Amino acid sequence: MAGRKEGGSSFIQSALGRITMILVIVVVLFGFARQMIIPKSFGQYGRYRGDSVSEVASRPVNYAGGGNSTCGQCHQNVFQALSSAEHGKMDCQTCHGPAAKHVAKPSEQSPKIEGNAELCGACHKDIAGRTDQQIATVTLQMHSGGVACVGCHDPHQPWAKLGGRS
Amino acid sequence: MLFGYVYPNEIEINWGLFIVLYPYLTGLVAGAFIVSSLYHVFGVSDLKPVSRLSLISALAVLVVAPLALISHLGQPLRALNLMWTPNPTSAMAGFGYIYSFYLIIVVLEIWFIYRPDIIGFSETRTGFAKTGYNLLTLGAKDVSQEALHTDHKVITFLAILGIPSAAFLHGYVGFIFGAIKANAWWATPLMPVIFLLSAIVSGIALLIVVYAAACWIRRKKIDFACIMSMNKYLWVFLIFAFVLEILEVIHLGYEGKEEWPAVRGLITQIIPFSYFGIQLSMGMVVPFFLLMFSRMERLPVKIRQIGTIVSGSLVLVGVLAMRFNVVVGGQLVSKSLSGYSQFHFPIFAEGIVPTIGFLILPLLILAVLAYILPPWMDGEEAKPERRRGFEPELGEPLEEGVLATVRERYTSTASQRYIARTDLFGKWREDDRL
Repeated sequence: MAGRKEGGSSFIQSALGRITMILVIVVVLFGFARQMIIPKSFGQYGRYRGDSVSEVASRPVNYAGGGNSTCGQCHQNVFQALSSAEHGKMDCQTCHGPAAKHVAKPSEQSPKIEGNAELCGACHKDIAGRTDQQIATVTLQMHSGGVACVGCHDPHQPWAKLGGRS
Repeated sequence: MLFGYVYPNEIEINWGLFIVLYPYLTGLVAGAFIVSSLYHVFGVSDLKPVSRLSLISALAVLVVAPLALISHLGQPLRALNLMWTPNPTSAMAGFGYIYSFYLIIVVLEIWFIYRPDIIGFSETRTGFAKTGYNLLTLGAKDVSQEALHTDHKVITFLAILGIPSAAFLHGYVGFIFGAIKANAWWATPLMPVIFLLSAIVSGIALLIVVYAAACWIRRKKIDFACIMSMNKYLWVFLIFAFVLEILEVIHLGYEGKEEWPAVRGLITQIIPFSYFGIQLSMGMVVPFFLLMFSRMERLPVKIRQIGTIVSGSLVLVGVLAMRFNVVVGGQLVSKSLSGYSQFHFPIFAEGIVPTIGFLILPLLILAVLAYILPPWMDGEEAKPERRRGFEPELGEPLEEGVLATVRERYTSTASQRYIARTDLFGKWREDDRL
């Protein structure tokens, strides 16, 4: 029968009281912080910031739409040559890069292209898991010794300069 | 080096050594906590010498575990997004809350257990240390019998609550792997249980090694009953862990579904050394026999102790190998089930050097924690005596008043109550007469 001493040992001054107090403060602060930090539009469409959709949509357009026929309106010869060849299903912008500005001002802006072997190697380099049955692969150094692929292959008709595919 | 058919996105092993560390470290935490619960909840009084050390060790390892994850992800500023907007359908996103809950429980239990000591230090220390300990008391300086009784109830409650929490924290890590149905080496409902048992095994092993090292550093005698008790529990849990780990593979082999040849190839050709050599033989079979021999009473005490400590070290290495075999091994099998990639040990970035750092860091944190909150149950200070063989008598004046005061506390009536409180669970009522 010890009883309360000095009248000062209220719950809030006891060890359990202090801990409870701190835990409550931490939880409340965490709740507030969470309210402050989570973006307003979070969860509008899914588990991401809804505003990001309109933000991304409002960025300037880089790629021209409409596929290869858009390019074909001016570049008819290349378009026809490409359509019947191995690369016929590839979009012009895959190699030539974004062309929206070129479509808007054809004479002032022309799309830039890196004409080196690395660009072709992105698809045609021999790596593990990519076999010849899927796509023609070469070991770049052995195949060309550093010479750019376009020296022999016309990218629009890869075998035309070499007398057709054997 | 690649074997057979491997998809291009399987060439790079994305989960490297840091992800090996994460289940290893959380496992050590869960295991160490279970040891403290053996004492605080199940009343295994032999484990008293490590009852505090186990909690301190658990905390020291616990704070390092997320560092490995954050270092792996490489975007520390985004780490808290896990707390603000966790995806409720993602098991991995549960980490933030599960970890925080467990951290709170461990810190609270340590605080309640150390409360009388912290108050004692806040009265005997001077200067900066006094201020620090004063802050740590949180202003609750009541060490009356009634208050200590309440503390005792809270400690028991936290220890009981901590067992399912520890099991959940680590079972959850196993669940993350076990629930990946595309990976034949991971996908088994047994995975959480396997992880949990190897966690308990590694935690006990850690305590054996840490306790022995601490005794050696402090030039104290190892408590033989304590280390033999840990020997017993390590042995029992080792059997369960071994059986489950083997069972999973045997089950895969007996079922003989289409993924078995790939798994068989993995363990017999790709990781046979770390799987059969380190994980099973060196990490389980050898310690199993060594622990058993260490229990033979006709052997000298010294040999039995060394046998137990060596077993503990072997188990620690074996469990690390087990984490490696699971985490990295699972990524070596191609999803085509007809090829394997190979893991290269990097040196610096997510490689061997920082991994060793993350393994040493908990020990440094443990040393600091043990300095601030001495976990030694033999009534001595954390620091070893300056002079060898210097054993002050009780009440004898010392240059540093601290040592004498602390020793004195153990002889006063208040400290006898304190000893009674830290004694065996359930003896509280009997000790009231002290």
